[in-house]
Amino acid sequence: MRPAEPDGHPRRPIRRALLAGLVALVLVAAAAGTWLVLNSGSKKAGLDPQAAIDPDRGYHLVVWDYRLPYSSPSGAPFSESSAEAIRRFERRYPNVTVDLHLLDPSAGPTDLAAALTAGYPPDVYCSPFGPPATGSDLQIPIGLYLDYETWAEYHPVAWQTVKTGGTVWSWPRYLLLWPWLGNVDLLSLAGVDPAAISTGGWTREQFALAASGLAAAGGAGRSAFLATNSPAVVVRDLLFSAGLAGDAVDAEDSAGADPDAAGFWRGPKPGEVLRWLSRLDQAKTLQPASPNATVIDSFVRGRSAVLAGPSPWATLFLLEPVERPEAWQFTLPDRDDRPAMVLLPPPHGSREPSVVWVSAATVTVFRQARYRGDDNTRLAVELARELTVGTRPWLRDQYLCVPAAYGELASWRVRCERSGPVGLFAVRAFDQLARLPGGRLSSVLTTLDYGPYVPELGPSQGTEAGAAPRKPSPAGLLQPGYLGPFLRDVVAPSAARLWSGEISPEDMAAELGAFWAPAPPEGGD
Amino acid sequence: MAGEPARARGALSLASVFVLGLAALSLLLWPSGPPSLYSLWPAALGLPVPTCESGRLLVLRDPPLRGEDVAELQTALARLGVYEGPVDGIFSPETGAAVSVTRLRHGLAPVPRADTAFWTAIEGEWLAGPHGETAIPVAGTEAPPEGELLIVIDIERVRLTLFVNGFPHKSYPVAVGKSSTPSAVGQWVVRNKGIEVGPPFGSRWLGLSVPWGIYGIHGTNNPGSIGSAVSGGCIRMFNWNVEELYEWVPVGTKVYIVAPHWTASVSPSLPEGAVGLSVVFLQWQMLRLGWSPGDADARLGGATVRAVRNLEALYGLEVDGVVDRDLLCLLDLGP
Repeated sequence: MRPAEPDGHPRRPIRRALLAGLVALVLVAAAAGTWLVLNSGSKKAGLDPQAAIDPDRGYHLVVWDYRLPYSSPSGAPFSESSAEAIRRFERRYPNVTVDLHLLDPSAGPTDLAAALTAGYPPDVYCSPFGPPATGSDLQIPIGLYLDYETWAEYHPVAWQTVKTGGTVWSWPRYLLLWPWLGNVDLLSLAGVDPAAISTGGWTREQFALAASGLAAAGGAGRSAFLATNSPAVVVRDLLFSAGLAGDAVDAEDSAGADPDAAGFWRGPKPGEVLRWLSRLDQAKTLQPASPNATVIDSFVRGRSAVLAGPSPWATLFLLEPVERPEAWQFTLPDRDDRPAMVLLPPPHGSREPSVVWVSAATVTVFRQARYRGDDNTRLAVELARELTVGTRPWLRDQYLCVPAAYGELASWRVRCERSGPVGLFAVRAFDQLARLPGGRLSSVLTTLDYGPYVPELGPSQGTEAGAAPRKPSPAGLLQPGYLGPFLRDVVAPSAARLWSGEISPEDMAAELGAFWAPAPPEGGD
Repeated sequence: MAGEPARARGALSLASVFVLGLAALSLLLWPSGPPSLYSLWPAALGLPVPTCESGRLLVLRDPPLRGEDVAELQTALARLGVYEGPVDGIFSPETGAAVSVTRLRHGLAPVPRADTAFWTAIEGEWLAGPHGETAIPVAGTEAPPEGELLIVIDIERVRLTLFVNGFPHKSYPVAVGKSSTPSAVGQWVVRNKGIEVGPPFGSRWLGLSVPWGIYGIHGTNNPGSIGSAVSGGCIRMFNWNVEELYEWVPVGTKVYIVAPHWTASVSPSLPEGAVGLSVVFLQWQMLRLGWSPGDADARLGGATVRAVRNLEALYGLEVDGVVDRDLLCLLDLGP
């Protein structure tokens, strides 16, 4: 007979129960660990453009797109263009379901930054603000997935606008042209022919002469010749033609972040342009900097001759070539007392091309921190491409929005050419960009807009030639609007101080050049 | 001891005087009888009382009563063919005579007094008269419509139309605010409902969510005013019409008050939280242009500020949510 325990109860059954519980716990933990390994950690994050799509697997993709205030001829909202593309895609891949989430333009970049920080960005991210410079290795370089046929479906200018650091980072959806706006009467008073400038461009000397001509013709009561709500945009637009001239920036189509960007910023061109801008400021040609300046209102009231800065959509709205629904609830003030306006290219140097800045509305693909497989990534890339198709009907009268794909580009061109001066200006501006050497255009766009903040390819993200990153960019770096990170963080503050006379053009050129100075060697005494 | 009964009698007589004084005061305040209990509740709760209708008793006095309500009375009498004098808002002896004649026709005492009995009496005559109606219709005979309801009131056409699932279901004549007290253009909802709120409000009351006053859709004791811009801002309907609408329309139903030729100026320094007609104008224009500012409910709040910020972001302006001159230009509300 087994002896009783001191308290009179047998102890062994308790031990056995405890032991059994412990074993069960270990088994459950082992099973859970195995499941986790199988479902997440085991899938190595890679890029395989040929990854097979499993017809028996259910895929789920998430698309983020922006809520834009535009509609198709039938009145369907812009988001319907994405919904339609998603329906097409789901018909093609019946085992894929897609969720479309709409973003506010003012909050979308912040939402994306938060999602990236958490490691769970959307599979597909559509943006009117250009390729997001996320600095995240969750961003998928599209270039690896392009075959020749697909490449040939899009205009080369479109590819140049989404190429950063020699790598294509997004699908181009449509392009935005950024002309300046001119007051026809004031330009005529200044002694220039607005139609001729609109067609053929004007040099910086002609611009300065017109500014002094308006002042001499009694325009002293005007607040300025050139008004802007963003001095950085003026600097950007002036340096765009300067950068494209001759050998100012070497065409580096495949060499990562172009090595001569530093040479450009530390070279003579920025200083030359900034000195010219400063001379205009001293001649009281520029609208004074003021935090509460309402430059669009001033321009519309005829108090300035040239306006730079609003987005192409705002510019089109001011021109109003776009048909809008009747206001049946109320009556609007008429526009009859507004001045006649004309689209203008920014002034350029004597040996520089007359060009209009271009940015891209893009579709970008991300993977998630818990990798879901190369097949999932490939499907996301396919869906992103689908989203670039069929946008035109929703942007039919937005002449400064140029479709990226050839299929829609032709109808845009025909509509523009039949529409009048605005459409004709857009066609000319686009053709001017198309004539530029492709590599040079891409390099200058990157140099001016993104600077050294090119997205960084992670070690597992392919080996596309020349894709080596320059400087590591801070995580979550996203532009809240149209300005790229370099323009926003580096150029804009300096330009604002130049505009207000706080610093000289030499100071600003030195500041920008210093940003590109090589980092001092680390360590050592 | 004899002094105590005398004191008691004195107290009794004082109390009698007090009660009589109260009665006299109430007669002075409400000569046509005390208001219904329902009409007292906003005041009792310290809430603003509906101000869109005066509800004044109109009688011949010296000096004569003057005002918009007298002009309304004259208009109604003219439509009934008993008054040919000026519509000048002065309760003249001619106006009083017309009231007396009308009362006599309806079996009331022929006195120059436009009270509830008078308005109730002429409602029947009005409906049988100039509008071609032959009898007072009875509300509630039609089956209630099923679907999403929307009330649209066009204050220029002086019509209220009930939409069901986006299609017009039934249209009613109304009276709307006069130029000095216009109806509140905007997108509202029915906030509350009431029966027999008070004589000037007819038999039914549908309160609207207008943030700067008490406005509603209600019946009237002055049916002659229907079809005119005479009210203090409320929407008046024939009693039998509002009784029908009352049964169909639940609290929360959307009510759009529109005016195709209405315009307003929008201040270029509207702060967040601003309330008023200029906010409605801003919101309506943003709605028209696809900027999704929420309803045009006169409040510059969350959804509208978010829409302003979206516009700024997309149009390349500083994203600060402030309604400034540049923003108004880019909404066609500027110069």
